[in-house]
Amino acid sequence: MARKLKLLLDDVEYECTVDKLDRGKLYGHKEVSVRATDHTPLTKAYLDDWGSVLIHSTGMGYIDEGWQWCDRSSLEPVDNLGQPIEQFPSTFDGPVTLQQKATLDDFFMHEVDSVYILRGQRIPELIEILSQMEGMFVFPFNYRAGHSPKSAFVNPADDALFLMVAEPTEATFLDRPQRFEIEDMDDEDELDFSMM
Amino acid sequence: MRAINLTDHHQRDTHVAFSSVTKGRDVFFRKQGGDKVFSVRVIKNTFQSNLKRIANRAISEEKEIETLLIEGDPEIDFDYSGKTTSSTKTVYVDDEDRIAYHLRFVDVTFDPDGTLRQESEHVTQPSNITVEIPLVWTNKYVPLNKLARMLAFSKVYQLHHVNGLTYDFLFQAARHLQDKRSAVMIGAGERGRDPLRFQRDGLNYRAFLMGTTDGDRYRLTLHLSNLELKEFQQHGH
Repeated sequence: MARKLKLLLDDVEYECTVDKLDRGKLYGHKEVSVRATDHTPLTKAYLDDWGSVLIHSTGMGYIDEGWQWCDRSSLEPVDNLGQPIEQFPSTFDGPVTLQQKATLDDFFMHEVDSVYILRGQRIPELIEILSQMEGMFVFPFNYRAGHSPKSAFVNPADDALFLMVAEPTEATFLDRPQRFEIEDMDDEDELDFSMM
Repeated sequence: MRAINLTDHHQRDTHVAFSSVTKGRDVFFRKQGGDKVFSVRVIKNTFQSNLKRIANRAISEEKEIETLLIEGDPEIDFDYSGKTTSSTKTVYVDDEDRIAYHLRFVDVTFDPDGTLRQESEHVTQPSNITVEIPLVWTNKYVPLNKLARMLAFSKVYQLHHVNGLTYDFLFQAARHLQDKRSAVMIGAGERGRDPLRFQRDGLNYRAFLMGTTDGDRYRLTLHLSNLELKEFQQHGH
C-alpha cells in the first residue's frame, strides 16, 4: 500500500500519497543491452582481484580491527568528530508542519535526488494556497528512519504539487585574485643593463 | 579541477575551471565501545551459487529447488561467499557462464508504458564541454522563480577563474545574471541547441547558469537538469 504523508498548514491537515517521478515515466527509458556477435544476450559478471572466480554479486559490510564481521545494527553512527548522531524517524510516521520557508537561493543551492508528486483529495486546495506564496516550504525528510535527513521542498508546478528531495551543496563566493604591486618608475630612472 | 570552454553574454569565449559542490555525508560507524570499524566489499555469491545454476541443476537432477537448497546449501559458495575483494573487473558471460570476448552494444529504447520502441546499434557519444566549439550563452533567460517551477536540478557545478583575466570574465557574467534576476541556458553545438554531456556516454543535461556577486566576490554556478516538473500518465505498473 502506498505510504501516506500528512502535511499541516495553519492547523489544516492535507493527507496525500507520494508517487515518484522519473524520466522513464515522462519520456520512456533507454538501456544498453550487451550481446554476443550472434545476437544472444549476455549477462554481466565480475572477476575478483585475482581473476580466479566469476562473481555474481557483491555487497558492503563492516569489519573491526581484528577482521571480525560487525553487524550493521550493532554499530553506532557518529559524526566526523566522533560524536553520536541521533536517529530521525521516517517522515511518514507523523504529520509534518509546514512552517519553515526557503528562499529561491536556498532552493537552487541544493541538488535534487528524487521528485515525488503528491496526490490527495485536498491537494488542489493546497496548490492554490502555495501558488500565491513567495518562496516555498521546506522540511527535513527521511523516507525511512535514518541518521541524515535530506531537505524536502514543497513546490507547486504544472497544476500539480511536487515534493523535491534534495541535498545541500557548498558553493562559496570566490575572491578576486591577488594583484601584483608595481613599483613606480620615473622617466629619469636609468635602466640598469649591467645587472643582467 | 576540470576545464570547460564557455562563452559569456558578449559572445567571448575562454576556458575556465569547474568543480562539484556536492557536500560529503558526515556519518561514520563505530562499535558500541568506541572501537573503529572499516567498510569492506565482500563476495555475496558466485556463478556457481546463483539461482539460475541451481534451477538448471534441479531440472537435470529432477528435484525441486527447495530440496536442493535444504540438502546441500548450493546457494552458498563455501570457497568464496563472504571473502573480501577490493576491486572487480566487469565481464560478460553467455548462457553457459563462459566469458564473451566479442561484444555488441545495442541501445534498446522503451516508451513510458514499457513497450519496446526501437533497437539500434550503440554509438559512443563523446563529452562535449571542452571541444573546440565553446558552449553557447543562448538568449534564453528564465526568471529564477519560473525556473524553480519548471525543472528539477540534480547536479550543481561551480565555475572558477584560473587567472586575473578569467576572474573578470566570470565576475562580469555573474553580475550580468544578478542584474537580470534570471538564469541563462547554456547549450552545446554551434547554435547552442544541444544538451551538455560531461562524460563519454554520460547523461545529457540541459544547463542553466546562475550568478551572484558580493563586492569583489562572485559565485557562478551551472545547474544541470534532465527532468521537467510535469504530471505523467499512469500506466498501472
